[in-house]
Amino acid sequence: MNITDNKKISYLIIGYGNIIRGDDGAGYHVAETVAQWNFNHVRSLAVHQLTPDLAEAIAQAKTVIFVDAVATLSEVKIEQLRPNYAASFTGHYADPRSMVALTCALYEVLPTAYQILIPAVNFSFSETLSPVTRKNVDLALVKIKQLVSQQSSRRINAYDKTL
Amino acid sequence: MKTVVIDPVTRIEGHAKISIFLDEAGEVSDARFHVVEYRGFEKFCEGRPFTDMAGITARICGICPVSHLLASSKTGDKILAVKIPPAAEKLRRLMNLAQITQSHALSFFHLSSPDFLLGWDSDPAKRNVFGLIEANPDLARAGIRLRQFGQNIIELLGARKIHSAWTVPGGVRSPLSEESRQWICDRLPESLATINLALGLFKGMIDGQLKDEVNIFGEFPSLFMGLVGKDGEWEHYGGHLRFTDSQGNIMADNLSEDNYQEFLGEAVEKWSYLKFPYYQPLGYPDGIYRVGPLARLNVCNYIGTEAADRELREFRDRSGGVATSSFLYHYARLIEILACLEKIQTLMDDPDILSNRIRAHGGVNQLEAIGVSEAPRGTLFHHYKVDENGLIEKVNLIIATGQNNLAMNKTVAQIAKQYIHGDGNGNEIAEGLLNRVEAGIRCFDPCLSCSTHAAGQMPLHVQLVAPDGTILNEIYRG
Repeated sequence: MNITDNKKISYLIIGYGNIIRGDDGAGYHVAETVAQWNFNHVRSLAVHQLTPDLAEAIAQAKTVIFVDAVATLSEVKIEQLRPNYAASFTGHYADPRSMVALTCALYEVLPTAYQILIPAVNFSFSETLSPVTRKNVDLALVKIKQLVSQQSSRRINAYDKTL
Repeated sequence: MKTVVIDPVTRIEGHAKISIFLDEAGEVSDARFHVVEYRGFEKFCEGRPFTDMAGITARICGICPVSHLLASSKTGDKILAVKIPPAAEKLRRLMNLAQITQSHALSFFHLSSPDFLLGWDSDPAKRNVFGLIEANPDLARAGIRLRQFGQNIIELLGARKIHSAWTVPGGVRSPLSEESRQWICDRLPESLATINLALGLFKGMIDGQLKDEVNIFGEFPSLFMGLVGKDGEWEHYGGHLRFTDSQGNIMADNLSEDNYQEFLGEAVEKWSYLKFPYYQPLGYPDGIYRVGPLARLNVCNYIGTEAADRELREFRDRSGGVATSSFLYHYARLIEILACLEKIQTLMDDPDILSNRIRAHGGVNQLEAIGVSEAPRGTLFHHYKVDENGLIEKVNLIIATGQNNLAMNKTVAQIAKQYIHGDGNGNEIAEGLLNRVEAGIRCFDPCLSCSTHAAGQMPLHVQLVAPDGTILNEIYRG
């Protein structure tokens, strides 16, 4: 299946996480906010988890940015992703590298891929973000807005860059 | 006695372990399917409002949350003592048809077809979705889109693909829009084409390279249980319960879920957290029965849609009337997807599907109720006792996969006896043989997170142990 470049959207944001587990929902909240910007060249998906059917949407983008919460960081981090073809998918779980690999395998395209990792501290049952994570979400949104304000896709110069 | 352990079983939902016991000659003497998870939903739900139960129990699982939403809502309907509006029932049915479609598509295309297309003995590193894509990219893409179709319907109805808060006691929260109806109609032809492609492919395989598996993977007599409608029509939401045997005789019919304790018993074994339901009149373990796609096709008289009924007739011809091989669950799943798609089309043609009359209201009018629904994997029961304020006093959940527990154990033992022959020297047991044992479990598409209401992560570790406890060989996977 070929999707020509001029039919692709410039940026796809995929924010994922469980919004009733406190900060785990950070990625989801980021994606919801980006969707409200209503940029023509940006598509934003807020999802509970990564599933194989997202590959079609990824294939239709020049650049895909995954957004997720992690407990092991102290600062918001953005890193470029390489595909991982060794993954096994279940109905419950897939990771961004596997999604990129799946997209490449299924649609023979390899979008530029990044992930933004947002430090999170509270994963207990809650529908709100902690103040720390709220602040980091705002930082992530600033960075995403800077990125997508370019009309064409632009590679980030440094691999594994911390904000 | 030596023990071979497969831990965890891969490409199923949830986690389990298989122990295969070898005798001194290296032949399989027995096998057990252990479920080693425990979550305790039946306990921690005590004290919660019954109106919360749909949302809570849906979170047992991310694959089949709709099943719990529906069974719980039906239980709630009875506590309120209301009859839900016809449009609400149709919408609930639509969601269940979509759920069955997406779950069965996941099972066939993602979890099982790598084995069918690539072979049991193929490189484990490639016996996955990537290997499937390499072998048949069109099929892989079509399968992903078929699952997406089911999930998107769920999202169109309930605003979320997973853990939607849409079905409630009394009905549903929101109607179907014309825009959504049109989207569904537009995507149906592609979905129908995909399932017909898959059916053709699979029928060719069971005539060819998978012929032996039909005879070896869980081929044994048992009872079958499922919901049927009036005149024995295939059912997934309402109707009554029916038991049939391996000759197609109706053992019990017109059973109500309200009296399930009269015909279903639950046994417990020390080596597994998964209960062992059985048909009470025959006792344990003789009262072994199977649920799910294979059972639903065996207990029904007909499906009620043209193409699916045609496939059902062929299915019965191929299996000699009653399908007793657990391997044919895969075939049954494909027929059920076809049935679901045709029934979705029928609902889309019904003008009442867009109605705004979708909810009845009431108070706590019954203090005990039981709801039943057909989940993709089989019949699901929710049994609640509440106080005057509607707070849960007691919960019992009988999960689809749990009812196949006896059958899964029997299947594992049968396959192991056929394929595993230790040579007494503790030599390595081939990966492909172990995969066949796991594949026997995958026939049932078990959702162990549901059936023990559990979750957990376990490292993969296979050991061959001598009678004196010496570890003769070890395999690490993942």
